[in-house]
Order: sequence, then C-alpha cells, then structure tokens
Amino acid sequence: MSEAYKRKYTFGEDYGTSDYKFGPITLGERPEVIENRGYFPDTSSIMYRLMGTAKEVVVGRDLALYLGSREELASRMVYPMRNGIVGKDDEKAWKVIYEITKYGLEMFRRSEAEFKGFYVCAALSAIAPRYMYEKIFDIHVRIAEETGLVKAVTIIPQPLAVAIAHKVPTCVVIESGHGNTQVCPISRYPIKTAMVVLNRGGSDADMLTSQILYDAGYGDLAKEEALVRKVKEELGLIPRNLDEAVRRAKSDPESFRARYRVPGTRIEIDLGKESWARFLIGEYVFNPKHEIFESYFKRGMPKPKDVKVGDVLFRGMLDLGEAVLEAVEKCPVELQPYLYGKILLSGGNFHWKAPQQYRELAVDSATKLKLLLSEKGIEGVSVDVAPEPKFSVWRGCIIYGYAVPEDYSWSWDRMEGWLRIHD
Amino acid sequence: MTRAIAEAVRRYFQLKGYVEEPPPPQGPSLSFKGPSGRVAVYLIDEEALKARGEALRRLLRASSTDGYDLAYVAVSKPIATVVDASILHEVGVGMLIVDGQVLEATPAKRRMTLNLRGLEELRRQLSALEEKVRRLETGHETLAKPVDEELAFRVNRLEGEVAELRANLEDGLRRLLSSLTSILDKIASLESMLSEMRREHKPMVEATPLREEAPPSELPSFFKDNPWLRILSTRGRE
Repeated sequence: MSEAYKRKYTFGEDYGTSDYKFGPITLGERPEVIENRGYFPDTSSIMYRLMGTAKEVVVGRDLALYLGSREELASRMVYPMRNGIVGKDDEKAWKVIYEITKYGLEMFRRSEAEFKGFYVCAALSAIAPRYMYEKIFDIHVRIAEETGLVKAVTIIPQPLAVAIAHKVPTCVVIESGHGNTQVCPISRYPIKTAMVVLNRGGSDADMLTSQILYDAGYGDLAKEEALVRKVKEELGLIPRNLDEAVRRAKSDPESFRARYRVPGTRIEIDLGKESWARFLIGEYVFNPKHEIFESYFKRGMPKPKDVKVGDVLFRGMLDLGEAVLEAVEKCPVELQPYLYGKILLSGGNFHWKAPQQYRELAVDSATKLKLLLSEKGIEGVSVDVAPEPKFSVWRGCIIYGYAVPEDYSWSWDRMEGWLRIHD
Repeated sequence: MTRAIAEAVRRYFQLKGYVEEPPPPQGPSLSFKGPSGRVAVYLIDEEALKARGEALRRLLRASSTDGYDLAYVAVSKPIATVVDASILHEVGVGMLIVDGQVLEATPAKRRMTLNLRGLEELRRQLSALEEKVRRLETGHETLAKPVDEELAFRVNRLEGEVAELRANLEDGLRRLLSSLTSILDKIASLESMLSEMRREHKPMVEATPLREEAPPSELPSFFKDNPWLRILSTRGRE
C-alpha cells in the first residue's frame, strides 16, 4: 500500500533563498514556484480596510495585489530565507514560512477517499541549525492538525537533494544562492564535518554590478535591485584570466562593449569605456581576493567578512578553488579522488553566459573552477553545472520522499527518517 | 468597458469548451454550459460601482447562486485590488481578473445545487404542513364550543401524520446529503484519474514494485537509472 500511496502523494518542498519550489510527485518534471516572501500589509490603511482582508501576512501569487508604496516594501516585505538561516525568534519570518508552506499544500489538496495526507520531504540549506529543523517540523504538525494534508514529514539538506537529483552518490556539491555558497562533500550521506561555507553569493555580485553601473553614470538605476540582477546576468562575464581580459577589453573597448536594452522600456544601458568591468562581475563570484577589487572596497563596497553563525563559520574571501580543496581535504584520503571525480555546481549564481565571440577570454563556471583547481595542482577534475538548477532540489526531495521506507522513524542523531504525524 | 470584459470572459470560456446560454432574469450577467456543468458569471464593472449598492448586490447574488455548478465574479484589474479573493473563496465563488486576457485568480468551488434545491423544497413542504396544523389548532380554539370528538380525532391524526412526515423528511434529507457527498467525492476522484490519464496518454496500469533498474514509466524522468533509489530504500535497515 505504502509505495502505491507514495507514488501519488509524495510532496517536495525546497525553501530556496529567493523562491519556494513545491508540489507533489504527480507534477512530473517541474514543481510549482512562488517567491519565498511574505507581505505584511499596513492594517491601519484605508486600502486594507476596503479589501476587508483578515490576513496578517500575504503570500503567493495574489501578493502583488496587496503591495503598498515602494518605500513600504523594505519594511513590510519579508524574505525569510534570504541568507539560508532564519533567526530562532524571528517571528515574522516564521509566520511567512508557515503561510507559504500551508499555501503550497492547500494548492494540491486531494479529494480521494484514500488520501490521508502527503509524505512531505522538505529541503533546507546545509547550514540550517537544529532549531530550524524543529520549527519546520512544528509548522508541518500544525498544518496537519488544521488541514489533514500531511501524513509524515522529513527534512534533508539541499546539497544532498542536488546529488540525488543528478544521480551521483559520491561528489562535491557547490550550492550557491543569494546570500551564501555551500561546498558540501557527499558520499551517500552529506559529510557535514567537511562542509565549507562562504559568506558570499549572488547578492555580492549584484553589489559589484550596482557599483559598476554607478561608475558608468547610471546611479539612479543602480538602486533598483531587480534591474541590477538582470544587468549582471546579461552583461557579466567570467574571465579565463582577469588581468588578460581587462587588458584586452581596455585596449579594444568597442569589441567588448556592454549594452543592454531593458525590455518594455526606453532604457538602454551602455557601459561604454567601462565595458571592461563586465569581467569583474564573474571573477568576483569565484575569487574576490584579486587586487583589482580593493579599490571598490575602499569606496565603500562591503567586503565579504568571516562571520560565525551558531557553530558555522562563514568564510568571506576564500576563493572557490581553495574552498573545494579545504572541504575535500577534510575527508578520508581514500575518498578524495572520487570527490574530485565529480563536482556539481548548483544554483543560479553559476549560470553565466560565455559568448562564442569572447571564447578566448570568457569561460563558463565549470571551466573557471577547473582553472582555479589546476592553479593549486589538482588536475583531471570533472565539474558539471547542474542543468535546470532551479528544480534540482525539489526533484531530489521527491526521490528521497518516495524511496526512504515509511517505517524509518526520524532520528536526531542521523538527521534522517520520517516524523510520522498520523497513520 | 463592460462589453470588453464580457467579450474576454466569453472567449475564455469558449476556449475551455463552454457554450454560452441566455441567463435567466435576475440571474448572472453571463451564463455558460460546458465540461464542468453550468457556470454563472457576474460582471463587477465600473457601471456596477457607479450605481449605489449594485456591486454589493451582484457579489451577494454570486455567493447565493442557485441552479449553477460554478459561480464566478469577473472584475477589471483596478477593481480586483479592492476585492478580497479569500472571502470569495470562502463562499465558493471564483474570481476572474480581466486585463485584456482573463486570469483565474481564485477557482470556484462546485456548488451543491441539487442539495440546496432539495433542501428548499423539503423546507417548503414542512412549512406548509405546519401552517395547516396551526390553522386547525386556531380554528379549534376559536370555535369556542364543546370539542367535537370527531374533530379532535382528526386533529390528533393529522398531528401524528405531521410528526411522522417530519421524521421521514429529516431522515430522507440526511440520506440525501450523505449520498450527495459520496457522489461528489467519486466525481472528483474520477475527474482526477481522467486528467492524469489524459496527461499521460496511456491506459491506467497496476503499480509495479520499486526497482532501480526499471522504474515504472509513469514516474518522472529523474527516477530513471537513479542509483539513489536503491541507496535510500535501504535507509533504516542498514
């Protein structure tokens, strides 16, 4: 009974830094996606009263209908997972996570008589502390009591889900999100003691892009977060060798000219003689230690710092090659060649264009990491960028939820198994 | 504006295989018949906002729609910002936002029209019988003459019949409700199976046991040849 049941009622939940990906196994290849955020409307506003809403927090696709002014967004919009970790007492963030989780499950409410709730497999950042696991369990128990939509729940780290989705039992998964980057060796289980976490992610490259736009005379646009991210994706390049790329781009600016027309507007961004700076954006993700970035730090751009959150040390300036070496070298020597044998890059921060006309100077993420490792004497490494990285974690959750036996109870020692809510 | 909204709604339902039918007097703005039964659509347009109470009247009508399987309100995008979709959802009314195209912001819940109609009819019959008894009792008192034994006998008999009818009606109503719930559940289950079969374009087959080498074809592609299936299926048994 259990397998036939799971074939229909396994449910995956990926709490990403920007998006929440969710849905049952029956969705097939792709989950539903909503932004991982909640809006707390001004309850004293006339609009709130007119709309007659009783909700303290609004999530999901209707959210845009409730938005107030731009100024209010900063204080009323909450992105609970922005940095992978949610504060234990951050009530607003937990309220958003509860609402988002319930929203997702309600969307797939089933009416069949046999339906007794979903087997839910949720994925959290690999650095999530134990209290986050406890809170996520509590949220599901509460939703199960209110709606009957959850039969059992389990939680796995996101890098493990990525390895599962890509069918690799032994590998290093590098998951780079908005706020941080996790380098996690996996050999059937995540090797948590070997994990290295970097205190930088997509948002740091956004900051650099913003500074580049400012320098190029687009100070007004440099404040628009979504636009800056788009410019980064459209114009940013990863240099094979930064010094060489900058030298060539400065000597022949027209060939490397970076221009971007914002769709649906009259705005065209043209970096002009500053176009060489497009190579800085990609380099910064992999190696912020290059001396060229010092001038940006001196002008006020925040330098990624080493910080300790709970038991986890987030490294600021380690380059990505060093981070991989440090993680792999914490594992048994016998295992190390297998780990170098498969490195998976996952997350939006690894998706960069490498246009054909610049192939001499610009490379993709996998090549860049191979070059960094080669500089440190590690050759013959296999690096892959996960295709459709946005959905990898959800897919891993679905497989995990489907395959792990239902009678395997949750163990806090092993951090796996099912927390059964009802039979 | 009204016409544009109505036209967009018409296109929307026609594309879903619905045929428009004339709405009844005092009924919805638009009426359709199609794969999910009869659909009522109430337009809340700027005209409705101009006439005092008209918008509220249409919303109330939508929430108490009878004789239709699904009920929607259709609003323009500016009006959508002041209509709380969650309240419509609570009363089972769907919301369509029309902005050139039609977006189903809130799906409508299936209305139990049979149930409501049946309930109304039973209530009507019961009231009629109660009224008869009341008239008989009043007539009996106002006669102000010695109670006629035959009349008393008839009143007693009628009271007995009314009590019996009431019990029968209540019992019948309970069974009707139970049958309806069961039928609706079965329909929902069949609809779900049908849509899955349509999506997969294949007949339903019995589930096969989990095997890493050859996962069943209806599982997503990322299951195929995935070594984790074997690894994970032994968790807790190692």
